[in-house]
Amino acid sequence: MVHPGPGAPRLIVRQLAKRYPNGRVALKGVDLTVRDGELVVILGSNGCGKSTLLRSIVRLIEPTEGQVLIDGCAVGGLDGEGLRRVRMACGMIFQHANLVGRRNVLANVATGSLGRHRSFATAMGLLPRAELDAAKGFLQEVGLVDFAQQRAGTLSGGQQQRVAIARALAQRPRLLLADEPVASLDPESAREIMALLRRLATEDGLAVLTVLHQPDLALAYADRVIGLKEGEVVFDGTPDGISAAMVDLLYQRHAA
Amino acid sequence: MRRSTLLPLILLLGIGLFGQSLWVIDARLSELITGVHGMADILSRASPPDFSSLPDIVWPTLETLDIALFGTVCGVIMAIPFAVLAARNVTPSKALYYFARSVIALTRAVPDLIWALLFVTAVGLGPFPGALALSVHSIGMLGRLFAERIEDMDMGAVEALTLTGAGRAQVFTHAVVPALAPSLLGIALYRFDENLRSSLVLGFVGAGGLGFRMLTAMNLFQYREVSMLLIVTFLLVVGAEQISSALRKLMA
Repeated sequence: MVHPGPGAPRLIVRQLAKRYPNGRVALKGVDLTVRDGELVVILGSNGCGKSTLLRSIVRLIEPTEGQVLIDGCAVGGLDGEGLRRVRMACGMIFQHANLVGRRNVLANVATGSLGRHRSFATAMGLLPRAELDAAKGFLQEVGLVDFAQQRAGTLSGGQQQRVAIARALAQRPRLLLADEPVASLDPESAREIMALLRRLATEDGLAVLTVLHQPDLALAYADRVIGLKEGEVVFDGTPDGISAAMVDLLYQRHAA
Repeated sequence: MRRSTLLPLILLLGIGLFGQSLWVIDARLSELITGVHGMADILSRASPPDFSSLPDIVWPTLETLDIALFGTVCGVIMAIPFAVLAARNVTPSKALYYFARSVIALTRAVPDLIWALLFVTAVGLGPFPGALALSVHSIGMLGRLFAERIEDMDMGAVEALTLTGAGRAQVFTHAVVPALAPSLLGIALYRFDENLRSSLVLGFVGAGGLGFRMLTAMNLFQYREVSMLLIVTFLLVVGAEQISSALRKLMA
């Protein structure tokens, strides 16, 4: 199924700010929107607030000001069950795959669906049987169906990251958030992961927001690039609109 | 103070400390030397080992093994909840953390012999109080090591599963258990070794099994039976050690 261009806004962030207890201001009123079928990349140097931003969206970090809307629902006021539901709708991918190394690949993927199968059996450590076929399908999607029975820990870094994406897909998310998903991968695997994220946005209509360190990957795969510097959005536009000077500005150290 | 003056001082203090221990324990090397023929006498009376009563000790051997088995299994079952509470990264509250740490410290600090005496007053003499004593004493060591493993655990998978919307119990069984099970099993096997040795000692004070058998034989001056029992004990302990270390390697 190919989606015709960007669709409805899936994620809206308004004036999001975060001030840490030690006084450091990580975010100074960030605005951004991610639509269905869109791959948006946040670029910026270390300490510009990229990870804080991503973590504030799902409230792994509590933002001090501003609003986050996922599917039109404000994340800020939620707790307990409501927060769990919102988190279920957004798949997260990190720098490390964070798989359970001793379990096989298929089991790791199937655990992504646990949130929708809360029963005594799954609480006792059994996998939701009904999800195993779907999990195989997601493995197919990331090209690893042949590895289904292998221990996750034996896979390469790039393969593990693809399993992590398949696990996020098993959540049936509409929004994917990725925090430097290729930071610890070799260039070849990094491009594979980016191509996969691109395909998930274009073909499956997922809204994808990813933090990246590499401008070249952002320019090659993103629909839109958001430049973040010292907690502020300094650029928001299509990759061809971003100049070399802008890239330099983003990666300049504070006191340049 | 300078290092150069501090070092001789510490050395002197150490020698002094050791000296007072010789005095307190009434160490007399001369008597050990003159008394050596007494030991030689016992050794000669103890050989050759008398294997004729081997069939009689099948039951005591089983008792000794089973006291250790019961102690280890119950120890593990009781240690896990305390370890979860006593691990800084997963404990639900500070109060429970300190409570669990205290229980672990207490069960470890009180020797198994004392626990056995306590349980004898409750359930009478026999293997059962010994097994209970080992269970309780095991909580200490197992709880502490389990808690350490939980604290050292890679929290990545736990965080990832929590974010997929999985519940607390699901996160525990799907991320924590598979990551920890092998090392916990290894610790439990190691504990079984120690419990087996303790179970022999507990036998001496009335828990039955090989230890009690040995005490009886000693009191009856049946030294050839004692040496046979020592050989069986040795084989048992070494065998358990070998098997448990082989199993631990298999799981690593």
